[in-house]
Amino acid sequence: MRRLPVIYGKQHQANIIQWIRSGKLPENSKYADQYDLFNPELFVFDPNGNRVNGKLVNNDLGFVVTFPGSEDGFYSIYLVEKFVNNDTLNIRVAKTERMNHSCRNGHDKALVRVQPKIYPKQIPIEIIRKRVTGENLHTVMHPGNDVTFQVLIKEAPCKNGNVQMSTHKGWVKSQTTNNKGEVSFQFVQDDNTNIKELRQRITFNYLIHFKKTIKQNGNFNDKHYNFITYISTFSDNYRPSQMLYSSFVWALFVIIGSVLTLTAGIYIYRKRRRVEYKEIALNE
Amino acid sequence: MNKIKTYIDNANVSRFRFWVQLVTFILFVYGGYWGISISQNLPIFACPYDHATGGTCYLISLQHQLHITWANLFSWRGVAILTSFGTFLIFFLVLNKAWCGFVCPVGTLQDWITKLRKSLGIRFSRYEDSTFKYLKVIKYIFLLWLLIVPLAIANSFFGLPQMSHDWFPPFCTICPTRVIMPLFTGDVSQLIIDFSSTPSLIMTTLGVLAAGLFLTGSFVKKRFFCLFCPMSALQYLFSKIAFLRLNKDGNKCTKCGNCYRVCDVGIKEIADDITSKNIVKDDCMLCLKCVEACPEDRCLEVTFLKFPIISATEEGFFKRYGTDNKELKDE
Repeated sequence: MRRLPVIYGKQHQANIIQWIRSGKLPENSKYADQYDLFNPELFVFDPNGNRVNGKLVNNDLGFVVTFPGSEDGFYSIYLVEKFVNNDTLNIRVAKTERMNHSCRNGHDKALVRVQPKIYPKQIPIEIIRKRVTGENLHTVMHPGNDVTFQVLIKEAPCKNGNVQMSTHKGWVKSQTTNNKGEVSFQFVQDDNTNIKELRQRITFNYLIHFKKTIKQNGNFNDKHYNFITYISTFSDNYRPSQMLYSSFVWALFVIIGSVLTLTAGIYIYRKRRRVEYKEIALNE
Repeated sequence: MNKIKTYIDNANVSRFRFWVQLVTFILFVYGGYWGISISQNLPIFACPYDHATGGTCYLISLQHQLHITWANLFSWRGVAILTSFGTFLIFFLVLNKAWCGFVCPVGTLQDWITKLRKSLGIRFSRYEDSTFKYLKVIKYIFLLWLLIVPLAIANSFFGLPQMSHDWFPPFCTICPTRVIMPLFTGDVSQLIIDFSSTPSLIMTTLGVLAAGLFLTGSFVKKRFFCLFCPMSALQYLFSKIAFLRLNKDGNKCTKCGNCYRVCDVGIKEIADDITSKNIVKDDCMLCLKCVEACPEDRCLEVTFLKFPIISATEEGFFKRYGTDNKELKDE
């Protein structure tokens, strides 16, 4: 499986997607190189749906995708491989979305600008992350959020397909798509999120993996096939839950409040119980 | 042999205890860093929420094991529960409640907080007899709570709906140890209020409140938390058959009250009871302060399988306290 995980940064006005990696789980996927790929075709679409000239580059960062672009909104990046193995046509698509936004450009029509787009002519299989209510140009997924994905094969919803979600910290869950081709997951809290990760606002990856084989005859590059296997991955990122910050703060309030209240209570109790020393002189 | 016995009888047990406590505290708070894992069924509050602990409190194992359906409970899986319990019992029988007085890191922490209070010159509190009588029941309520709730999560009681898993583990989530002990390794992840569900919110809030209560309570009352500790309740159920015992010879007792005055928990029977031979009471932690403070020869004696280990002696008392008077003053 190919992964196009999180955005690495910008270099020479080209957006660079982090290393292309192989593997089903974020925690143990290996970095890919050009020799791992089968006739890869790269598609990069800007937020307006126009194709942008992207490149697969082997540089000092590793094997990466670069593309120019400064439009506000989601850039959609796809790495597509097609090849026949035995009697099966394998169609493998690795997808990621890259939000490009500068607040200087304003936030007009943010709800519209974040909507997903599909490209059925070039991309036969799509995994779409359904936007959350009120999603804007700054929305980041956090544990505790519900997140829904829709799988489309040639624009049609793919029902009864197996979709697996796995997170950077190793949480894995599989679900079957409904009639609309949708599955929903709730991000679980990563137990081992530590305060350092929270403070540094570290971003983690998650990966959606979909695979389905259908019976269909045909020819591809003069090779005959009887089955088509669709494999698609969608990678995105999330940050530790914002709720964790407030959870820590609330806990600090509660523990400091309880210590202060009890201390004050004990002090007042002791003060009230103190009997002043009075010398009594008995007149005998 | 007599020389050794005299040396032990005259020894400063409190100093020995301090060093044992220091070593065991390091072991059960930081032991994991050296790959130490003594057991998962220890009769002390070695808290597994502290990722570096060198062992695990039996109560968390017990709660996890009791999160089981009736059918499984009375199957081969029940044998695993019995095995764990047997391990706990073997550990416990050797040292009896001295686990609390010498080994428990939470007890040690309370003793250190007491030392801090003393050095600041703040006086301590003592419960009235009637209050003490009621408070000591609380630990048995906690014990019942941690035994019943895991079963009620996995099973339906009398046709009632099963409890939410968010109540689990029912004691650890409200135990102040869960919040406090990880702090010693710089881990603040347990100092948190969990808003994910109502039971989680209630339990984690109670846990943080209990931590605040623990810190303040331990500052004004010696061994404050031990009175509410369900491990102490579980231990007392088997204390009578333990190998290490504290015996009292009522005929030699002058009721001077020294033993009560030095008792951190405040057990009055230690001074008043002159009929019982085995004087290990409900809240006793076998710290042996009473043996140190008893000026009557062999009035109080610690035995292991009837073999005398340390006895109260007049000589030892005067050596330790360096006083002309047999009656100690309050702190």
